[in-house]
Parts: sequence; C-alpha cells; structure tokens
Amino acid sequence: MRLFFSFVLLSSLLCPAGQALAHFGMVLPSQSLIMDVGTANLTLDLKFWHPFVNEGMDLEKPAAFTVYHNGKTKNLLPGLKEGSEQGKRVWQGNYAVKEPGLYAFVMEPRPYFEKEEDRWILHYTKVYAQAFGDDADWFEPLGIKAEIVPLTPPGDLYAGNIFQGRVLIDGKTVPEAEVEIEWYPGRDKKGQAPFASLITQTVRADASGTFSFVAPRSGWWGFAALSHDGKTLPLDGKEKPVEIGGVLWVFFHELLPALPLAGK
Amino acid sequence: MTLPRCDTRRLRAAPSLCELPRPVGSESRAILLPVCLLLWIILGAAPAAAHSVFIYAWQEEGGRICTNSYFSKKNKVRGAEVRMESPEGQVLDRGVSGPDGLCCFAAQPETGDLRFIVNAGQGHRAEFLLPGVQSGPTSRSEPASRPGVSSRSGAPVEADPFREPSLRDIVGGMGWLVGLAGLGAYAVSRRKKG
Repeated sequence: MRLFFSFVLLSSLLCPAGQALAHFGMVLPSQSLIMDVGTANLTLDLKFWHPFVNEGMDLEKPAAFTVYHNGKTKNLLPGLKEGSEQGKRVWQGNYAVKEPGLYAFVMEPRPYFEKEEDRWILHYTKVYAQAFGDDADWFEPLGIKAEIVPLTPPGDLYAGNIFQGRVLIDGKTVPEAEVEIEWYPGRDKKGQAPFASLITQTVRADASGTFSFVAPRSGWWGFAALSHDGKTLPLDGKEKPVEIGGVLWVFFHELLPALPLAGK
Repeated sequence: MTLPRCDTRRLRAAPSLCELPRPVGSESRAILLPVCLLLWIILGAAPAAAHSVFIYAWQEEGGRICTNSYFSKKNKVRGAEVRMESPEGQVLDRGVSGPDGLCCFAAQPETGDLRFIVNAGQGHRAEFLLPGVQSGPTSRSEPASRPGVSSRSGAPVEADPFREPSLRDIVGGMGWLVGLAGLGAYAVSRRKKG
C-alpha cells in the first residue's frame, strides 16, 4: 500500500493534473487608449488562444469582424490578413481612428468543435479602444448575440481597480453566469501560476448578471462569460451542444509612482 | 494681435464669440462685461475639478484647421482660449472656443506640425499635436471662418467628431441669442442716456 501511495504521489508530481486551459477568442488592438495621432492607425490581432500559457489554436477566418462607433458599424472582414504565430493560424486587421470616441471591435468566429468537451464553442469576442479622451457610451450594449457590458469604463482601469461587467445573451441578462478570466502576458511570454488551478480564474455573476473582478497585474485580461442557448449544431450526423461565450478584453494600466513637483 | 477665429457649425444663425467686436476702449469693455456675465449665467460655468479636458484637431479640405475642445462628448469647453503654436512654441494664432467647443484657424502658409492648446481655466489645460499639416491658401485679412460658412472652399465639414447637437448645445445657443439681445438693449439705453 505504501508503495502504491508513493507511486501516486510521484506520478502527481511528475505529471501535474491536466491544466485547465480555457479557450479564449482574442481581439487585441495595438493601443487601447489613443491620445496622439501617431498611434491612431491600429493593428488588431485576432486569435483563438490559451492566453495565460500563451499557447494557440488555429483560428479559421471569422464569420464577422466589425467595428462599432458612434452608433454605426463597419465591416472589417474584407481587410483581414491571415498570419501565423506558433505555427497556428491567426488573423490581423487594421483600422485608422480618425475622430475622438469609443471604438468597439467584435469578432464572431466560426463554431469550433472541442473534442474533450464534446461541444461546439462559439465565443463572440469584443474589445474597446478609446480615442482622444472621449469614452461616451461605454456602458451601452452593442446588441451582439453574447456580450459583457462594462459597468466600469473599460479604458480607464489600473491594475488593482475593480472591474464590473454585466453578462447579456440575446440582450437579456444571464443570472449567475460563469465568467472565466485569464491574463495574457504578451507575445512571446507566458504566465507563471503557482498552481495550475490559478491559470484560469472563475467568478460567478449575481442574479442581475453582474460580476466583479480585481486584476492583480497590469496588461490585457480576458473575461469569458459562458452559457448555452439550448441550440445544437451537427457533427457527423449527431447534434452537439453549443457553448455560447461573450468575451471581453480589458487593459489594466500600471499606476506609476509619484513624481516630485517641479521646483520642490 | 490677430482676431480670434472660431467657428460654430450647428448654431449657424448665432454668431460665435469670435465674431463679437473686440473691445478697443473703456466703453467697449463696459459693454462686454455685463454681456459676458449674462452669458456665463445662462450657459453655466465650465465644469470644475474632476473632469479632464481634451482638445482634438484636424485639417479640412482647403487647408483650414479646426479644433474641438471637450470634457466629454456632450460637455464642451466653451469660451476658452485656444492657441495654435509651432512645435517650438511660437504662437501662430489664437481663438476662443464656441458654444460647440469648436475653434477653427486659417490655412497655414507652410507644411508642418502644429500644436493646439486649450486653456479652460482652473487647471484645465490640454494640448494636441497635429502632425503633417499641409499648407493652404492664406489670407491674413480674411477670417478663417464665418457663421454659415463651413469651410473656405464651401465644402461640407469633413470630420466633425460629434455630429449630433445635444440639448445643452441648443440651450447654449438660445443663451447666445438672449445675451446678444441684452447687448443691443444695453447699447440702446446708453445711446438714449447720451
């Protein structure tokens, strides 16, 4: 028996429990806050990724890629260019910001079948870029299939601030929605988690579909509100459930140390 | 010193502050003071403290350069000084933002970068660097913009960042009209006394 337990212990040390890697759609602009003309030509990276460990999956050409601004939309899909990162298919778009305001970029991917979970995954992915100090309408839903609507201005957050969002599917709040959260450490970097269970953090929304989270470190954080709308999609003649996700990427800024006043 | 040059696009019937006659003597100053006080009361003082102020600039077809100063989309910086400077800090022109936060300047004789600075008082100051401004036809004697003329070429405004007038803009415009009526009444009463 002692030998058996030793074997189990050794096995668990050598082969840590399967990492809970959450799937995240990603749309990351080159700038989340645009304050000078020199940074107004945005590049947008689109991926299907495990952000914290920075491992990718292939992203098929999305079904839609749209920018929302000032009550209007523009189709950015024709301008998407295919690329490769870590040998995986990724996409890149461009958008020139030409006036102040809030810009929401939304990717609707094609359904992805996850064998391990025996379900389709369909994550509507949103990110905001704020230009020249105007963040009007940041609290307004865009009206997409699934989305997280910020209750905190998404462009003005420091690491350590609380972020609150409301989960909507088909325009209706989702009580007790589960929201998976991951940090993206940046290109060519991976996060360090003391335990695999800390790679993806999870919060649960309250009865009004509202959740809260405090980001402990600056950078991009992805919030994936997961739900089902009861619909199925076929695979090899069999109907499989579809996981609907509303993903929002939020940038948390680092609070810089104080400077002495001039002349003091 | 050049005349302040500003524009108002939505309240085309109402002259912008820039179109008011400049005070040249004590009499003019005496007229301007109660008018400004009246306008300040009607339009409300600029929001203080917590709001950050922003200025955004763009060049229109024909070369005119316009600025928009705001605390937020619906909360414009009105009646604030706007300076146009070279990157080295030489003041090229000055203006005052209109009720819609806009202030436009004449096309410049040389291509280059321009810096715009709005000073809204109480520590509210913002600046914006507009790179690569193209030179355009200039005429120092002609104002950059007049009410009812959207640009020198007569073409519609290229890129108005905020297209919809807010209720506050409309109320502000009415305030201008009331203020100007007060100015006229005050001038008439002084003439009668004289």
